[in-house]
Amino acid sequence: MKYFLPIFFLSILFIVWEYFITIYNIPEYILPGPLGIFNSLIENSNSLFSALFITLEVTVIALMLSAISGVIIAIFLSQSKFIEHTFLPYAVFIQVTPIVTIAPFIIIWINDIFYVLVILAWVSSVFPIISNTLLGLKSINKNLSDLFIIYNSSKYQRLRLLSIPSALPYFLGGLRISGGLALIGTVVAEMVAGTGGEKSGLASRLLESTYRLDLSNALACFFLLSITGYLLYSFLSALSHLLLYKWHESALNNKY
Amino acid sequence: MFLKIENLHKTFSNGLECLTSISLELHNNDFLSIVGPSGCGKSTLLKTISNLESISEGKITFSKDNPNISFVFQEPSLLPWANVFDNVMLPLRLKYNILNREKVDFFLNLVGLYEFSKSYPRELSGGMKMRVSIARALVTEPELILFDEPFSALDEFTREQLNYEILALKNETNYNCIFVTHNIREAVFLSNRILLFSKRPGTIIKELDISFPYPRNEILKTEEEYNHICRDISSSLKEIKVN
Repeated sequence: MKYFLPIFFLSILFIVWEYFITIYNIPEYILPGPLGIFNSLIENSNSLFSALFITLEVTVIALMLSAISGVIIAIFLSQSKFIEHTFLPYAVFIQVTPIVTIAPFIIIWINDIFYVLVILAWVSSVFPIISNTLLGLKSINKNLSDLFIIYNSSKYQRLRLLSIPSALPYFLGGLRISGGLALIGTVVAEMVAGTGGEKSGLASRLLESTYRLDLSNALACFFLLSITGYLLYSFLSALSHLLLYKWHESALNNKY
Repeated sequence: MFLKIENLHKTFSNGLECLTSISLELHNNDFLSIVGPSGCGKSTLLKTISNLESISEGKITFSKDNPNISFVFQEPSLLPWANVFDNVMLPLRLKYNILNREKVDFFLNLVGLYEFSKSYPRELSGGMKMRVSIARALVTEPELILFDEPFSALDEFTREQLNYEILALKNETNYNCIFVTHNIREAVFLSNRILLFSKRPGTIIKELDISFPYPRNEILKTEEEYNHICRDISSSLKEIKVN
C-alpha cells in the first residue's frame, strides 16, 4: 500500500499528461509527453547513466567527506564554549552563502573540475552534520556524565562509550538532510562550473539539452535526478533505522 | 568510622548558599538516611561526597584513600544503547578496564535480572531498570553507595519491594550507605540512623537512631513504635516548613 498509492497516482498523472499534449497538439520542444521522455531515456540510456554515475560519484564522495569532517569539526567545537563561540560563526557563513557565489573562486583556484564539484557539494552539505552532531554532543545526559566522572573514565572511554553513542541519532538526522543537500550542491555546481564533454554529469546534460531544445532528454535527466535524490534519502533513512532500531525512541514502532 | 564530614559549607558560584555547618560521621555498616524539604541541598551533599561538586569550606575525610564509591541516581540513568549486561559491566570497564563476566552475572542474579541480560533498557519496567541501576552500583563492590531518592519515581508497591531488596543486598554485600529520600516511612524502615535537614541553606537539625534490629520485614511496619517514629519525624518536618 505504501508503495502502491504514490505509483498509482503517478500513473494517473502520466495518462492525463499524455492525453493533454495529444489533444492540444503541443510540440515536443515546449512540453514532451511521458512516453517521449521515456523513449529518450531508453535511446540515450548509455550516456545518461554514465552521466548519472558521475553526478552520483561526486555526491557520495562529498557526502562522505561531510560526514567525516562534520563530526570532527563538531567534536572540536564541543570542547569548550570559547572554541564554539570563536569558530561556529564560520560554519554558519559557509551555510548561508549561496554556492553560486563561492563557485567562481573555487574554479579559479582549482584546476581539476572534479575536485571543484566535490568541494562545492561539500560546502553545501556539511553544515547540518556539524550543527546536529554538536547539538547531540551537548545533549549528553547529566547523570551519565557524572557516572563517567565517578568511575574515573579516560577521555577516550568517555568519547567512545558516551559522547559518540549519545550524538549518533542527531548525527544521522543531519546525515539525512545532508544527503539531499549534497546532491543539490553537485547539480548546482555542475551548472555553474559548466562541465562539458565526456565527463559531464547529469545536470550539465540537462542544461545542454535545453540549449538544443531537446526537452525530452532534459526531462529524462530531471526525473533521473529526482529518483536518485529519493533513493539516496531512502538509503540514509534505512541506514539510520538499522543503527538505531534496537534502542532509540525515533525507531520504535511497538512500545513494550 | 568510615567517613567524617567537618563543618562543611557549600555556596554555588552564583552566590546561592546551599549547605551550611554540616558535620557528620558515617560508621562502618551504617545505613544513614537524610530526610528534608525539597531543595535543601541533600543531593548536593551527596555530590560533594562523591567529588562531583567542590566544597566551599570544611573537610571531608575517609578512613582510607581512594574509597570505592557508587552512586544511584533518582532516575535509573542507564545507557539506552547498551543492553542490561553491558550497562552493569560499565563501571568495571571504566574503573578497572576489565571485563569480568562472572561478576556481572553474579550481581544480575542477585537483583533477579539474569534472564534479562540481553534486553535493552526500553524493554524493562521502571522497577527493573532501577534494579539494573542498583546492580551497576554494586558491581564494583563499593564501600559506600550514595542513593539520591532512587525510588521516588516508582509506584508504591515496587518501592516497597525494592526496599526489602536493598536491605537484603546490604546484608549480603556489606556496603555503607547514605540514602536521600522524601519518604519518611521508607527512611525509618531502612535506616539505623536518620538526619533531618532544614530548608535551604541545609543543615542538620535533628539526628535519630532507629534501633530496630536487622533483618527487618513488613511486620515492623505494623508496630506501634515504628508508626510513632514516623509521626514524630513528620511533625518535625512540618515545623521546618512553617518556620
